[in-house]
Amino acid sequence: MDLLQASIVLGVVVGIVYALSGAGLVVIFRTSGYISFAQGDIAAVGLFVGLAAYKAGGGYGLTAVTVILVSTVLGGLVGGLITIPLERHGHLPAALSTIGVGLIIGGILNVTVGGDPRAFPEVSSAAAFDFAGVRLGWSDIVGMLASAAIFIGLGFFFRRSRIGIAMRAVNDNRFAGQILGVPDKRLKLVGWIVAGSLSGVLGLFVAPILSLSPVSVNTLLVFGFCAIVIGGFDSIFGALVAGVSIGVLSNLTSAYVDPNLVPTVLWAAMLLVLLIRPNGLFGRRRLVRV
Amino acid sequence: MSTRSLRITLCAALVATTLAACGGGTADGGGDQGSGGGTIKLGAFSPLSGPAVSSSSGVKATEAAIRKLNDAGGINGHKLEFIVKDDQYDPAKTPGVTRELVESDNVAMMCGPQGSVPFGAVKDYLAARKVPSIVNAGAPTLAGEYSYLVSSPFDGLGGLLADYAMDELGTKNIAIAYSEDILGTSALEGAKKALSEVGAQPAGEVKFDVSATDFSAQAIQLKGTNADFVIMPGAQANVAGQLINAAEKIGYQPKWGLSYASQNQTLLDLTGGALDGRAFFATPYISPESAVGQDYVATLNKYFPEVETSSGATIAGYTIGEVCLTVLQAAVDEAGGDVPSSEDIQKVMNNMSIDNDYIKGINWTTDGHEGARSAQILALVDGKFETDQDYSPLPE
Repeated sequence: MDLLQASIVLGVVVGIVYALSGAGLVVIFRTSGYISFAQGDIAAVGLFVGLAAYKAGGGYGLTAVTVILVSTVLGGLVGGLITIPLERHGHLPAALSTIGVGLIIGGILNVTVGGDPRAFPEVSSAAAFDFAGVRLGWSDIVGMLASAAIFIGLGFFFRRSRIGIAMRAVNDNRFAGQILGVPDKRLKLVGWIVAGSLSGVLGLFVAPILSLSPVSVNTLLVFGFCAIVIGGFDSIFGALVAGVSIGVLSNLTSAYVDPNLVPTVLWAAMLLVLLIRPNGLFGRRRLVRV
Repeated sequence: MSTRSLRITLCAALVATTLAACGGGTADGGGDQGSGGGTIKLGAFSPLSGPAVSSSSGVKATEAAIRKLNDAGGINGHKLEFIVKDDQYDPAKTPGVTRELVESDNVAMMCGPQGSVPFGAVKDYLAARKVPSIVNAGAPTLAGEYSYLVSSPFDGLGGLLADYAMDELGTKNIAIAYSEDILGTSALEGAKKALSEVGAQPAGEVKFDVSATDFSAQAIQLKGTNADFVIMPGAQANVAGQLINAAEKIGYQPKWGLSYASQNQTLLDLTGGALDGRAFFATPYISPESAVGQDYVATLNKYFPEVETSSGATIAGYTIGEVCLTVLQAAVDEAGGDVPSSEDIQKVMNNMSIDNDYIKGINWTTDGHEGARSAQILALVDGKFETDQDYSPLPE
C-alpha cells in the first residue's frame, strides 16, 4: 500500500469531519457575528443522553435522533436564554458567555457521568469497499454522504432561502434589518438551533472514533476553528475546503515529518493565511468582531 | 518575682513545652504512639473529582486493602487511618493538599499517591519533610531518596513483550509503536535491546502523539512494516484503542503487545471484541482471574462494589495497598511494636524485598527504589485477562 495514497484518502475522510465541526461555528458567526466555544459541550450532552438511550435498548437510529434532538434543544436554550440576550452588551460578553456555558456543562458532565472515555456506537462496523488500499466502512460512506448533504443544504439555505438570507442580513446590518422588519432575535435563535443540531451530527461522527468523554468533541473543535480561520469565518464552502486540507496536511505531517509537529504545522498554516488573507481563503469581509 | 508569679511562669513554660512537643517539628510518624491501640496515619492524593476522576479507582483499591486489614484487627493492634485528598490530577493543586496531609494530618507515609505528573510536583517537598512515599505511577524518574516505585519499568516491559513474541508466538517480525515521553521511549529502548540480543531489528518504529485525534498515519506506517506483532506498552486504553481501530480500518490485524496501562474495559469497549486472542498485556500485577485475584475481587466487591476490578489501574492500587501493609508490618516490628515513625518506615523500606502473592521482584535498597523486576503476560481471552505466561524476571 502506498503511504502517500492512503494518507491522502484517510486525510480526506477525517478532514470532512473537521469541516463539519467548522460548519457549526460558521453558522453562528454568520448570524450573530461571534464564535461559540460551547459547541463541543452541547454535543457531549446530546451524546451522553443518546448513549443512555442506546444502552436502554434503543437502536442506532433512535440513538442518533436522540443525540441530534437533545443537541438542537440545548443549542436553542443556550442561544435563546444566555448568549442572544447578552448581545445587547456587545459581542464580546456574548462570546465569553459561551466559554462559561461550556465550562459549566463540562463540569456538570464530569460530576455526573465522569471523565472515563467510553465506546460509542457507529452506524455500521461493516466494510463497504476498498479504495486506494483503504477499507472504507459503511460508517465512512454514510458520514461522507451526510456531510455532503449538510454542506449543500447549508449552502442553499444561506444563499437561496428567505430565512438564510435574512440571517445573513441580520449580521451584516442589524439596524437596517430591523427597519425592514426582520426579526433579528428570532433569526439568531434559528442559527443557534441549526448549530446545535450540527454539533449533534458532528458528535455522531466523532464519538465512535475518539471515544466519548466530556471533552472528546471539544478536542476536535480545535481543527474546526483552524478550518474556519483558513477557509473564512463566514464561508461554508471555505470550511469544507479547509477542513479537508487540514485532514490531508495533518496525515502527511504525521506520516512523513513527526506526529508531534501536527499542531505546530496547523497553527503555522493558520498564521500564514491570516498574514496573507486575513479574511481567510474564501472569506467575504474583514473581521472586526470577536 | 513573687511565688505566685513564679508558679504562673512555670505553668506557662510547661504548657508551651507540651504544645511544642505535640505540634512542632517534622512528620514524626503521625498518630497516637504506644504499643497496641495506636493509629498509623497514611496519606494519598488522587483525582476524586474532575476529568480524571476515573483514575481514583486505584486509591479506592488501596483503601480496600487497608480497610480489610483494619477489619482483621490492624497491625499488632494498631489501626490504620488512610486520608485521601482530592487534587483533581492537577499538579497545581497537588502541593496544597500534600502540605495538608503532612503538616496538618501528620501522615507517617504516603501510600499510593496517584499520577506521575502530580507526584513530580511534590517529590522534593516530601523528601524535604522526610516522608516516605510508595508511588502509584510508572515513570522511573519518580524514584528518589524518599520515593519508592512498585510498577515495573517500561523498558523491562517492552523487553519482556519482545521476548514473549519471539519465544512464545514464534515471530521476530516485530514493530514498535511509541509516544515520545518517558514511558514510550523506555519501552522502545527495552524492546530494541531484547531484539538486538538475538541479532534482530524492529520491523519498524512508529511514533505517535497521545493527544492526536487521528491515528491513521501511524496505522498505515505500521501496516507498511508488515509486522506480525506490535509492541505498544506505554499507551493508555483510549490511545491504544484509537490506533488499533485505525489499523483495523485499513485491514491490518497484527497481535498487539500492551501493558497494564491499557488493561481495562475501556479498551475492550473501544475495540468492540476485535482484540480477542490478539492482545497481550505485560504486567507486574495479578490477573483478576487467578486464585489470588479472586480474593482481590471479593475484597473490592465488599468495600467498593462500583469499582471495575479488571482494570490494571485498580489492581495496581490494590497491590500498592498490600505493599504498604507489608512495609508497615516490618516498620511496627522495627519500632518494637509501637506506632512507627516516618524514619522507622523508611529504614525498613531501604532494605526490603517483596515477593508475595501480589507482587514479585521488588528489591529496595538504600540506593535503589525501582519497581518490580518481574512481570507476567496476560492474554485477552473471551473478554477476560488470563495468565498466558507466568511471572519471569524482566530483561536487564
